[in-house]
Amino acid sequence: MIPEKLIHYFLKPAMRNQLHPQYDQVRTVVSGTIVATALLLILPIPLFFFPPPLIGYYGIAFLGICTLLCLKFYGIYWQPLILGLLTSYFVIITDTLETGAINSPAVTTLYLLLLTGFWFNRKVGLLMIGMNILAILIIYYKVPEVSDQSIYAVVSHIVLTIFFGTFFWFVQEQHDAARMQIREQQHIRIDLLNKAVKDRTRQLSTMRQNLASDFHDETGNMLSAITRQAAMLKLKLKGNPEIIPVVDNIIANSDQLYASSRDFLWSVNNNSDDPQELFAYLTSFGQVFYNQFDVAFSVNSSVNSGNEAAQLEPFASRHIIFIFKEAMTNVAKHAGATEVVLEMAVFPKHISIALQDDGQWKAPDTKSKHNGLVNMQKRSKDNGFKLNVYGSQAGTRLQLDAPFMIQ
Amino acid sequence: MKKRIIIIEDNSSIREGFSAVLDTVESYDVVNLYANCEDALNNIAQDNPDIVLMDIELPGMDGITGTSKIKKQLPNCIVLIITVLEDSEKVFRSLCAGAGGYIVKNSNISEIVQNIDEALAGGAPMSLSIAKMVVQSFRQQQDSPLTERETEVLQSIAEGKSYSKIALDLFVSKETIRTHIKNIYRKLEVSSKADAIKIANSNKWVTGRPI
Repeated sequence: MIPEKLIHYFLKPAMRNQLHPQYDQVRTVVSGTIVATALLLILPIPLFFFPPPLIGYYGIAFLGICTLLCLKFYGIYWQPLILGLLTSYFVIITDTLETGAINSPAVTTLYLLLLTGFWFNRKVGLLMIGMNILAILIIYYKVPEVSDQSIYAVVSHIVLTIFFGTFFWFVQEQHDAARMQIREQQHIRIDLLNKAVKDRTRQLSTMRQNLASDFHDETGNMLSAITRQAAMLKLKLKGNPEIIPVVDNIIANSDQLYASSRDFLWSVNNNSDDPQELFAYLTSFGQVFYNQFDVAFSVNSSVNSGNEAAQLEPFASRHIIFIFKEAMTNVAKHAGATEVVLEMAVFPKHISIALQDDGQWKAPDTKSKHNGLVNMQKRSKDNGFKLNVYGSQAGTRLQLDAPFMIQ
Repeated sequence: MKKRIIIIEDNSSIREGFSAVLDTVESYDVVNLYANCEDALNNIAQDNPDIVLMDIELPGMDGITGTSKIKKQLPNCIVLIITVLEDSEKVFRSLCAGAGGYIVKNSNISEIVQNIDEALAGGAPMSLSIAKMVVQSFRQQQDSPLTERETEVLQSIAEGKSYSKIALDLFVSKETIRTHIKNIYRKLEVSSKADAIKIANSNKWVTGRPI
């Protein structure tokens, strides 16, 4: 009946979760206070024409609003509630005494208060049975006249209070038990779902790794067979030099595919969106690659106030690998470098990977190098990277900035 | 004198391809070709190879077991593993079993020849992942049998440095680095093989299929 949004408005953000242990209690407090405050504002109106003025009730309504605000801004409610409770007793007792003491219909507001107490919390309600009986006795003894009617009234009220209290106690107990059961079932359900997801993920991961491995083994073997046969073909074609470029092409393509399938296997078996894993892979490749030449290769990685757990966009690593393999090849073939360093720096929102060599920077040739660099630039642009090449007599630096995935 | 080579590889295109390539090299003599270890072992005495090129994935007896059996019969023979993935855990285990190095199946002529020549000279390449597996293997022992220099070289490789870089850092020649690697491999083979295999099985840098 009360819209969820209104209730959540008065809860602190952390409390808005249904599974929070305190959620049920606090939610009850909020909904109860809203209803009580609303009633307290409306109820006195029909009685406006009869003195005394029911200002006291507006006072309690004000305390109700204070409780709601305390909850919203400070997350506390017991203190204003207790204040409200004591004020309520005071107001009720005062009004009752002014309108006929123990015979006044105003005594019935004590039952309303008792109901409210049970609504909030069973234990508070139990306590209030006692407090109500105390209030009844205060009202009775404040007025000195003792008549049969008065004794009847006081005894009736005490008996009825105990009866109602016990009744409310059982009603609330049932209500609380039902709610507990629902919560428990929710928790069991969530645990089952979590377990199922975990099992499934593990199953898929194993399957994925096995598939990738099998694929690579088979592909690798087939590609090697192609390479071997192409090499044999080349030997036999020594007499026909014009066909040799075609065979070389076959070998080159086969090598390329071989390398691609290796990259693919890596990306399946590792968390390829993790910059550290990517860097490890590039390191491994660079080492093997530069061992072919007399080039001193090493790596350097640093974290500059970066987010260590951040991930790259999916599939970005594949393109980064492509670009850097090309860059490393270029350095080996063109720049005449003796030392190459691969660096990575992690920043809050992006990573920066750079290949630094001490080869002389040459303006790109119109034909050969131009193609490679242009391809790298295009690949960068297509994937949202920033690629820059800085060159001088002292060395060349190729730097790629790749943004993290926005969480 | 020509070096006698036998090839054990179950894929016929690859087997014949390797043979054709090696036939073009003056100093090599391809003596025999086999599709599995068992046949090769039956003829090993007659073949008396200096070099054995062995595929790591074979039907029947696998490359690792084959390596140790051949090394037992012919201790001076050099066994080179042919593999699709050069940094797999199986390669590491073969190295522990006594293999002298590895050749990637897709290599071209010059790479193959270079690998064989290096192996004959006693060295073998060591990649980052293999270095890490070696580090793990030695860490399990009480006292590492490696010298300080060897440990430095091993660590540097595990960090991704190329041989030239390590040579630069230690003010030695690339040849010296190769010699250090050769010694590391020898000590690896000598050290407890069962332990090494146990560790390689559980380490994280395996990119091949888990056993």
